[in-house]
Amino acid sequence: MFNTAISISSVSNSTRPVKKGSLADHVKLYSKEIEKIIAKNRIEEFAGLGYGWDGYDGESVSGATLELSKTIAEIMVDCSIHIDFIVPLRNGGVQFEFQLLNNECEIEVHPNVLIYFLWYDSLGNLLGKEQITITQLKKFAS
Amino acid sequence: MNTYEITPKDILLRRIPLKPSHIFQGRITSACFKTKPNENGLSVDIEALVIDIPSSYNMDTHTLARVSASVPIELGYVCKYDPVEGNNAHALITGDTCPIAKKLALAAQVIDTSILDKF
Repeated sequence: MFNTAISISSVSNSTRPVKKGSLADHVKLYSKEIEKIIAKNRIEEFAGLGYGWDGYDGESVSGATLELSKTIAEIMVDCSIHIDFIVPLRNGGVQFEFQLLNNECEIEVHPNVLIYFLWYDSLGNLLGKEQITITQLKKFAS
Repeated sequence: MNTYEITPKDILLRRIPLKPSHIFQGRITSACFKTKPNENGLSVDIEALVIDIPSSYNMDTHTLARVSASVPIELGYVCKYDPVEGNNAHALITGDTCPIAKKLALAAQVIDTSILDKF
C-alpha cells in the first residue's frame, strides 16, 4: 500500500489477539494492526514538511491535523475500508483516497480540523462533498 | 509586458513532489491540483515557454506532470498567462480548482525524464 517499511515485530504485544478463534481471525487482526501502523507511519512523514514543500506555497501540517488523521486512519482500517493513498494537502491538511461502492472517494482533513467527504465517478467528476464529524464517519464506515 | 494566449493545444506543467510521494500506482493524486482557499488560481508553467527544464526545476525533489490546457478550458476554466520574476513561463488556471482537481489528475501524465535529454 505504502512505501513505508515495517516489520511484524513492531506490532505491540498489547495489541496481539488472545489465543482463541480461528487462524483466519488472528491473521485478520494482525493485518489490521499492520495496516494501521503503515498508515500512521505515512502520516507521520508529513510532520517534517516545511512551508513550500510542494514547490509552491504548500503549508506545513499541524500536530492537531496529524493526530486527527491518525484517528481517522484507525477508524477506516477498523471498518475494513482499504486506504489506497494518504497525502498531505497544500493547505496543511491531509487527504485519504479510497474506493467505495464503485466510487472514488476522498476524505480531507483540513488544518482547522474540519473533515470533508468527497466522492467522484470513475471519470473524476465530483459527485458530492459533505462536511462530516468523527462520529458520523464511524457510523458511516461501520 | 509579454503576452501569450493559452490555447487548448498548449501543455501545462505542474511540479509533483517526490517526497512524500504523490504518485500511487502510476496515478497522480488530486491533491496536487487543489488550490488553497486564498489562492486565485493554480500555478502551472506553459511548456512551450519553458526554455530549460533541468535548470528550471529541481528534479531530485520533484517530477513534472503534463496536462493539456484543453482539460481546464473545456471545463470552463480560464488559463491565464501570468509571468513572474524568474519564471517567464508561469500561468494560472484561474479560480478554485478543487472541483476539477480529480479530472486534472486523471488527465495528467508524469513527464518522461528521457525527454530531458533534448534540452
